[in-house]
Amino acid sequence: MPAAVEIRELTKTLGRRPVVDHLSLDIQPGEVFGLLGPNGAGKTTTIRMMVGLISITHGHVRIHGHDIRTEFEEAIRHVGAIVENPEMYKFLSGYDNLRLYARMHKGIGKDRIDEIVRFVGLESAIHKKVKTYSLGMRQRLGLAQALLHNPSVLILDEPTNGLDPAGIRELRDHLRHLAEDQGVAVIVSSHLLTEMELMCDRVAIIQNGRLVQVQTVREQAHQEAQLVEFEVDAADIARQVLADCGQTEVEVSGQTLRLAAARDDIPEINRRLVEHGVAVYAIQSRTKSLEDQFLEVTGGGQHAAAHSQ
Amino acid sequence: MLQLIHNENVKIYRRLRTWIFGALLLLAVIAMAALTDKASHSQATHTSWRQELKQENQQLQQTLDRSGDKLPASTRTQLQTQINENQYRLDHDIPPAKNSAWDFTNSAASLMVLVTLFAAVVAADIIASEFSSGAIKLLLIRPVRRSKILMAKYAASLLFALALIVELAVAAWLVGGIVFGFDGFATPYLYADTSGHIHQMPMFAHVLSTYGLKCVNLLMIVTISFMISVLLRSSSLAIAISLLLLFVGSTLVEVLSNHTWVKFILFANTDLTQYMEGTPVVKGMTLTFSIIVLAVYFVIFHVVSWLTFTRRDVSGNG
Repeated sequence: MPAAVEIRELTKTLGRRPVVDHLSLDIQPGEVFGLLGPNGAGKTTTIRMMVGLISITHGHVRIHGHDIRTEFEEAIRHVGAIVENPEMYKFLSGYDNLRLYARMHKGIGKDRIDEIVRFVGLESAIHKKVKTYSLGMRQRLGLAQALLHNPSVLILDEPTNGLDPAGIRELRDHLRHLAEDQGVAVIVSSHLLTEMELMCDRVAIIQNGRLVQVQTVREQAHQEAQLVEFEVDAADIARQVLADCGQTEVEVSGQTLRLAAARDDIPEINRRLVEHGVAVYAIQSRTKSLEDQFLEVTGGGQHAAAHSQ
Repeated sequence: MLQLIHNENVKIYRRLRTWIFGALLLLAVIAMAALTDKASHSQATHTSWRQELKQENQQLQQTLDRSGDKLPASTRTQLQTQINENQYRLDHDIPPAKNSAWDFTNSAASLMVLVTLFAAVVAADIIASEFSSGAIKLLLIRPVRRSKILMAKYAASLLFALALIVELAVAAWLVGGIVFGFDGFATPYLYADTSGHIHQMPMFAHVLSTYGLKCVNLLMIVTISFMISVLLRSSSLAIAISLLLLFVGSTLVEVLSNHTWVKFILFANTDLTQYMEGTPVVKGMTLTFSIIVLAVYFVIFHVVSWLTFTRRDVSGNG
């Protein structure tokens, strides 16, 4: 399948300092792709180059095969985006803002505007002036303008800024729906690891403008052993039960047992414990999170960079 | 393209500021009519206009005869022109223009200063404000080339200026008509050429030419404000600089008027009425010269705007 977005050797130099340095990525239709990196890593600069807001020093960005530099209109037609904060015209209503953008694309009627307003859940406030909106409402309106023309590539820069936990969850569901049901290639950037873990299928870790690693997040190894903690009332009995079913590498601290087990084995272990009269209060799997991986791959370097500046 | 211009119009006319400008212009017209009306009442006399003109000419002639050599040359020319005009009226049976809708519309052309001011503010704001608010980012990620957006914005600035001119002229004609009466269309306008000979032209043509010549100045000011708007990211700074140029420009030319290079300054050329009535800022300047200078500036302003806007990196902090 051809990539929805193809980034090759993308470089942006400001003065003599490379802000983005020979970055190459392929983003497929139907996936949620994350750009993860500390602040100043070059995420926003990359996104600005992808949508043609700033010039490209070297390399190229192709959207469905169209070069953003030489075929701007053809390429950007497929893109919906929010770059940093979704700043719109405050003296207009949300609806009038959307009408402005609708006029700049072909074939967006009133029906489509109404549909997208319902989708982002802004029906009650859409005729109020944007200056009365909360940050969360502005984000919703931002998402609406980005989706108005049914883009097949959706680029969101720090989309969870200003959203409350419920709003973040809703956004996550929206993005998942767009990717899975409509085959949209979704690209989000963030410096928040846990958020990316929950939202994305794949994450590119970027540091100092360079690609460090592309990591698959979802379907994370169900068969692979991970660290699991059981909190029980009787640690001794529990330990014996686990030993009987072949789990000998168990670490006990107080009422908590820590062992390595595959995700698929957890229910079975729990059943056995309960069968032997052990009360289980909590089970926590300590997956090696993206955070661990992130800190592993960027960890030392980040400190060094911070000190050198 | 029409859609883009429509969008820009929405952004202009949905702002309160725009309507305040419109209201101020209307108020200025009404105030001017009231003042003119008051002044004409205090002058009102009952003698016939022929006698009045004859008397006036006698007085003027006496002044010239008695103290002619003490007066500066320009004042002497002025007095002589006035005598010629009065005599022309007596010879051709044309009574002096009394206040009418047409005459007032013509005088109200002096309020083009306000139109220019308001149009300059809107033009200076139209791009810079998109940068200062950050809205430019969502505007430039549409399937529309930047040059088209620039053109639409310039067109919208000019359309706004045009709307103000129409408002001024229509308001002046209506208010003038209500206060002074709607007649006066048939009264010809008299003017003196550079050698002091008197000619006449239809009133309507005169009103049109007055507004037309002021429009040249307006067009240049809007264009330079527009360029400043492209160059600066702060709308308040762009507005401030445009207004500074508007007010300081002509003063600067006057101060420097004894240097010959001053004729290449934009503001020495924007007022084309200097060739119709009165003398040019610098001797030897001709209408053709000014038109060429204006055209060159016009092209430069547009090239600078276009090069800057289409290539600019739209990056963080505004």
